[in-house]
Amino acid sequence: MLVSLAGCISTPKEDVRFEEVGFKITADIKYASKFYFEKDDSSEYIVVSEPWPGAITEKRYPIGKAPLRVVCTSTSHLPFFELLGMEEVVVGFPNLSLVSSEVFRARAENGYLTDLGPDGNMNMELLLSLNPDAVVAFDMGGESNTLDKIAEVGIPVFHNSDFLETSPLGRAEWIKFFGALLDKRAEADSIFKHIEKEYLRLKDIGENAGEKPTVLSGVVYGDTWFLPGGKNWSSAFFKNAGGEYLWEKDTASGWLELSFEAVYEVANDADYWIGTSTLNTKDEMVGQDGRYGSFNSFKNNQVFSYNKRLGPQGGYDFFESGYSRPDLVLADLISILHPESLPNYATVYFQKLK
Amino acid sequence: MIESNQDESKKKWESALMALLVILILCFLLSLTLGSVKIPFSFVINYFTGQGNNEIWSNILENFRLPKAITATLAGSALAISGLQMQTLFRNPLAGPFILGISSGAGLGVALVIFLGISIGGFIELSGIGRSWLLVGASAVGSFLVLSIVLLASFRIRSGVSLLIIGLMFGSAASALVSILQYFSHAENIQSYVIWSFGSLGSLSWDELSVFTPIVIAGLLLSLFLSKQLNALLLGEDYAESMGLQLKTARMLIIICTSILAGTVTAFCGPIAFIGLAIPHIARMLFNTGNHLLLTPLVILLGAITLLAFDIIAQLPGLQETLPINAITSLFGAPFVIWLILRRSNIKYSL
Amino acid sequence: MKGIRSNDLTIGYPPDKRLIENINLKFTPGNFVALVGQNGVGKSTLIRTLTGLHPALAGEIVLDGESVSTYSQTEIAKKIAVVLTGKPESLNLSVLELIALGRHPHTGWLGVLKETDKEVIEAALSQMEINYIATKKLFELSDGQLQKVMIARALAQDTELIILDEPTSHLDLKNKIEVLELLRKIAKSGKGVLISTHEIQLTASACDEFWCVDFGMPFLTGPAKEIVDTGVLHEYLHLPSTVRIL
Repeated sequence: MLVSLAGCISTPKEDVRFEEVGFKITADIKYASKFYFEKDDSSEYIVVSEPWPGAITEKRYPIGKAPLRVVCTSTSHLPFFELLGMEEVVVGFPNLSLVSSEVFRARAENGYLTDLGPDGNMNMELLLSLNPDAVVAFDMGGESNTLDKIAEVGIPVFHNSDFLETSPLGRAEWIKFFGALLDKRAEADSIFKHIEKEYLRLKDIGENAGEKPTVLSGVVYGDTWFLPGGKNWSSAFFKNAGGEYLWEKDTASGWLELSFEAVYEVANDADYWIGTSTLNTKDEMVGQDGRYGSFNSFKNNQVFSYNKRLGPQGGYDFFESGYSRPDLVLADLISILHPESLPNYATVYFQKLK
Repeated sequence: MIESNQDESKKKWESALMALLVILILCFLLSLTLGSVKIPFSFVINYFTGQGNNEIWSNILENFRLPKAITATLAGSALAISGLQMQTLFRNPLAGPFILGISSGAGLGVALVIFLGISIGGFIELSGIGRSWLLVGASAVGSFLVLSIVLLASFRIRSGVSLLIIGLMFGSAASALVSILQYFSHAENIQSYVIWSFGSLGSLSWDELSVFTPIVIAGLLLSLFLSKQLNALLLGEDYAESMGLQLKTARMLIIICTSILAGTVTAFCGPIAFIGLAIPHIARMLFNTGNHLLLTPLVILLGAITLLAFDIIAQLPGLQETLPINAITSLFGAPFVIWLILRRSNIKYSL
Repeated sequence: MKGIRSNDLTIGYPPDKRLIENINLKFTPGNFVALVGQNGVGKSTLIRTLTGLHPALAGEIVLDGESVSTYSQTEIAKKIAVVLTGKPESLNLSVLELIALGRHPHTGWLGVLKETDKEVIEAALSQMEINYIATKKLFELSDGQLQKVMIARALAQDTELIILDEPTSHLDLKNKIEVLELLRKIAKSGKGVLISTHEIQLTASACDEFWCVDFGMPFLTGPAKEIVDTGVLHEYLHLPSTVRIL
């Protein structure tokens, strides 16, 4: 029975240990592939199966008493605390200038939230002085030294690898990770159920909206055009919104690095150009590279980016709260690609570049 | 006897020059033909005779490959010449165009714009100057500042080695400032800076080329006129002075010429390693002369050919991906130089 | 008057390291002069000062009747050629290329050689008897050959005066004799030749005049034979009287 259960959950390599220790995977994670919950006789665990890119061992955290003082390290963690109504447990964050959320900015101004210095080089003494019960960390593979040190002084470190998810709902489902951590599992389930329902409703509208306009994304840095791979989070959005992303057949889940001319050949007559990195106006675009002007989408004024909501320091709220609200992102994209399907809709993150 | 000898070496030099010229033209055409997008050679010819009938291909040739090939040609020549000048001026085979801190200065300028420049950049962008010009300007100002300090020092200091050390010190100080700026910066900005440091030949627009081209050509012409001074320096500063060389003036002119060449290339293309260091050695070894009047045209052509060839490799013809030019130059260049040295063991006499 | 004259010249290093004071000398075309003295007394500094490579501390140097300060670097280079100690910094030149560098003060902007330049270079080759190595690279030469090539370069500079700093050191005896003989011939042909040297015996029979310097002693000049015969040379060089020179 255990074997057959393990078979229908995505990671068959778990089989052996199952039988040995008698773990039981609880089946309440639907979209996320980088974490799940496990139960044994005495307690329940959050298991992060790939805690950093390419990690070969998983991390297993017993679900216990909810921490009261948390340090987290990625802007994309913050909205989950906000959605769960637990923003007051966050006491430290690196590089606060990046944060867009008004709630957290206000808490920082009032001294409830401490800036821990540059990303990747957090001030350890400051961190220890905050006396946190938990650190929620994102680890690109190079931060292990700092994190090991934190663990060494007895502060539990929770690896969060939400950025490795390739599906929009998978990434949003990490609210359940925070729900389990903060003892808010019921709330997390219900919020996610709502987001999921809304997303699926919109997806149905987007994918059945008729003709699929072609989509280009990204900009050039130096000689290289960075654009989302076909298995990337963005690619899924374009598809669900009823668009044809011109690189959707590609198999990379990360980013493609292509030459300008290769992108030009494929995408010069794309209908829409969505996502222009830090370029916020069409003038800025041609200021960086005049050749942007020869794309059809540019000429026809169909260039959009996620810069409608900017933080006071120029941080993009899209990269902060967008991950937790795929329903809003999808609605924005549908209203761009198929405006007739969502009449009177006002976008949250995206806007047309002027 | 001296006549026949001179005639013979002159003939050898002329045929080397012709051969390099032919190779340069071939490389130029090849770099127009090869790239991520497959464009047949016949179309390239048609394009130049005005019969191109594929709008996308024409656009790719006109706005991507032609500017890139011109940039690579000029940048290769410029870097190779400034390397030659620095090696002779400091009589140091390890000297290169950036030995006086030009690229570190440029890097500091660019880092200031990328890391602190959101507000300043916004201000300049309001006045209608694009981001690419902003980076070019910052890089030029950065290298100009380092250069001015080195030039000021050159009036006070007679010894070339002391000047070299001062240049190196300013270079390290500038790099240290860049590290500090990086330490306090967002990942996105660090990425922008790292990408700048990879070098780029393909991002120059025709507008930028219309500035880049005349400056580099002026620098190359100046370098031809400096070959007499450089020759005198081959025997050392004392001999040069005893033969009537105004040491300080000549040194200043050479430093200015190098800075114009290397500074302009760095401003528009980012730092590009290897070419400046290695091409002069390769030229001296291949053509067996230390005479700058002969060497200068050879180095100009060889530098252009090499950077064009490296750029073709970096484009990975047939694939959609590209590699950073700054890595390719060293990766493919270093083994070649090692091979040359092993083949001819007299590198110590190669200045 | 052709050649160099100095009036109460003091040489040394600023601000106040005075090596030799009150030098009054005359160096004219057609003369072969040897400058002798102990190591460290200031021979090289005197040579560098006379050739304009080093500033004088006091006094005046007069070149062809006018103060040297009124000449440009190139004008001096057309009147005085120098051969310094040590090898040239670059050895990747051919013998011809190196000798051609001597034409530097005479050629135009680009340094292109004209017919007359080539004739002068050819003459320098013949005069130094090194035609047979004209196409060799400098790093292929023996020390003696290299020194002759360096002297040929000075000849090609086509000056009335040639000043050489220790031209015979590091050479074997055969080459020392050959080089001194060639220098004597050059002086006979009408150029002024000044060398600094420790080769007293070999030089005494070749040169016309000795300039003697020593710590705390006045700068002294005189015909070679007289300087030797009167014992001045022994005194300045601290030689026992048993050493025979001529």
